[in-house]
Amino acid sequence: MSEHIIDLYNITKSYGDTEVIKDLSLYIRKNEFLTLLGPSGCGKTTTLRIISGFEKPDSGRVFFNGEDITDLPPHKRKVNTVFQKYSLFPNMNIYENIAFGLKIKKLPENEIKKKVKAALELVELSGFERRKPDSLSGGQQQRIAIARAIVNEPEVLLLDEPLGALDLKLRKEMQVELKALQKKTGITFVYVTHDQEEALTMSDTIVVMNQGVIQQIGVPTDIYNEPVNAFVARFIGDSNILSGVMVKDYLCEFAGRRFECADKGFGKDEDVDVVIRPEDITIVKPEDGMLTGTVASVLFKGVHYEMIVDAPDGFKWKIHSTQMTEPGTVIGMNVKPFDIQIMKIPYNILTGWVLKDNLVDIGPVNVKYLDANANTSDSEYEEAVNVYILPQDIEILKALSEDEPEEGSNIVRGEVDTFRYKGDDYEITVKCEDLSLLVHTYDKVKIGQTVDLYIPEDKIRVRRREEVVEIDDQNH
Amino acid sequence: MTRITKTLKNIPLYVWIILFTIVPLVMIFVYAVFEFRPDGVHFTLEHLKYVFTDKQVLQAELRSLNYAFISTVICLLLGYPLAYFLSRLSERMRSFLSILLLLPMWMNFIIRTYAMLSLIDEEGIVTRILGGTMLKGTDAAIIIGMVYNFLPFLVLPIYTSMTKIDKNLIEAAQDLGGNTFHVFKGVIFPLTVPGVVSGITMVFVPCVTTFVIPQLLNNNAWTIGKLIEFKFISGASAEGVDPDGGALSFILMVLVFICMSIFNLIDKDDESAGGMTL
Repeated sequence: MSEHIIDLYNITKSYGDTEVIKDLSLYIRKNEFLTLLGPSGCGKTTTLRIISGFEKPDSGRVFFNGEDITDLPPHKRKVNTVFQKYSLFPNMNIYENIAFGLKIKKLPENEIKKKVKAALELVELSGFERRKPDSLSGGQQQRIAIARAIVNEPEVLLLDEPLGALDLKLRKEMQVELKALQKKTGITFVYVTHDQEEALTMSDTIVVMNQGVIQQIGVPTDIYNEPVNAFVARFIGDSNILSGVMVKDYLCEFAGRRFECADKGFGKDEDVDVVIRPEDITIVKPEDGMLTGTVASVLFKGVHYEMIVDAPDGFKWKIHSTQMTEPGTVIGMNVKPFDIQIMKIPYNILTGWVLKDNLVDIGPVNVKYLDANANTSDSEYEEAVNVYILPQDIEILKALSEDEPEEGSNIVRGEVDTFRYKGDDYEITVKCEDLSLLVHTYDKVKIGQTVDLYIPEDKIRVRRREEVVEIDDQNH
Repeated sequence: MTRITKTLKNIPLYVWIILFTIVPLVMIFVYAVFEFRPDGVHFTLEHLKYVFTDKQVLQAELRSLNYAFISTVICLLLGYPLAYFLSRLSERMRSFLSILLLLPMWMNFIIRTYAMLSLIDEEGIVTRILGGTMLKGTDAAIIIGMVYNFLPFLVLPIYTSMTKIDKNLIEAAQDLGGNTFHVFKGVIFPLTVPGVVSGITMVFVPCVTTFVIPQLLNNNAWTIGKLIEFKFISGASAEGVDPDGGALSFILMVLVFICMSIFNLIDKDDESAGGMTL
């Protein structure tokens, strides 16, 4: 299981101005079932097409069994693809479709016959040789597409949302069959889907992608139980995501109280996102609960009830429980330390030098800061510190002042470098000399536009280096 | 009730077919077997007999088929690769070039043929380039005229069937190890056969029937179209329409019908045979 069959190194790919894949590196092990999972437009299909050779990366290399195949055309690669829309040749019957690749390899006719027969048996469609593709149902066409690919005995089979066009029941059946087929043939499967349940059911390894960047790689249980960020938590299953503060190792504060948790290694009082799965919350009597709330709505979901519970602080908790509770009931809620998942927030973490009390040099400018916990009053001159700024705390000033921003005004001038829509706000990076700042904004800006950024002094956190438990590399 | 409303809905179609297809066909046949003379209408099979036995008519028929066949083959040899390369260009380039391809068609057919004539007559540029060899009056002139005029009719249906091919099919063929040749032979060509057949029809039929091209470019060549034109217009006398024209038109239609049936047979054969043999 440990030998790599495919290695992708630092792949980037853009279509026009849109960067679909950003510096992606990934290895795929022999005989594993690996799933690229993400919403549409996350770059998963492009990654697959780079492996099959239908797309050429702008930069980066693709290796197959240790051999560089970046410049090899698709028909010379030892991979085969099962396409989303089956793509069976309408002018050929089933036999001719499956035999297409074998005929190109100039195999003897009787051997082709034998292999086609075996492939049809494998997908349980024996006797379909003379049928035309359009006389088959969607599920049957997809099986033929799979047979047409695996009859060539590829070392890697690429599957591009192959079950997307099938109905739910058939899709579930095919998931089981595909997994069995993969085990039986021992072929490495690289599977692309946006369906998280499908990914969790079938995969040995899941690669969660968003906006051209790998968010998390792991086995299904890890991806589900320990999402590394809010995106993964939201994308894989239902979740409650709250803002919290990591007081110290194994102690986190959110929803108005402190909780024991299983995570460590954060900065002192670092802002974090907290994820709690709806099924990990147990309902108890109000007086026994760590938290209380009023049941607002109950939905029957088959195996469990889904409840929305209003907390006094306004947060709406989602709870899955097999036990029915009438709306309007006040309940207590408990959660085990192990079920509290702590995630880092993508801070701007800059290196700064304290010039004097409450003035720090962050490169292009010196900014004032107000941070009661900074503990830098006795710092030596030009001591290197970490400066934390949340992307949502940076303001884009509407009017660009004529003159260069004044020293000490906490305004930094820069140029918009990247621009991404994130659902309800935009995530942009602004380049200010050699400093790159991540900013969340509701305003629309253009790439290349010059902007003035205002960083409120009370939103800047400054920490001396020795206090930082873990030097973070999340500086975007 | 539904059947009645369905019939009612189709009335415009029936009216159209009756007015513009059935009635004219009957008229042609009527003109072929009846003589309209001042002393009354007379039934006769003389004209049909003439059409089937007259040596000049038979020669004209053969000559027309011959010109049409050669022109269609040349159109196919030029047009298929043209359509193939056109379909592989970027969307913008494609629409630009297909407009250029169609642009000459906006000009009247007869004017275009006259323009061609001016190139190949005694004083024409082409004649001068060829060192005095005049194409006007040769079989080559007719074939060049036909290819020039009808090529777009062949390119367009093939081009359309090519652009309609699902890109995924081509990728699937490449994915299975097919190089450019395999992809063309296994996928692209079989899927463009319907376009080829309709393209051939669009070229072959007007080539057989045209009278303007032979009349202008080689007036010595008696094709069947020219013969009909002569009988109807140039040959029309005070006595009225020459019934030979009706008989000729009738026989021409039968001829074209037979040719088309053969083409369609080829199309069907290909469909059932389907696949590729490498």
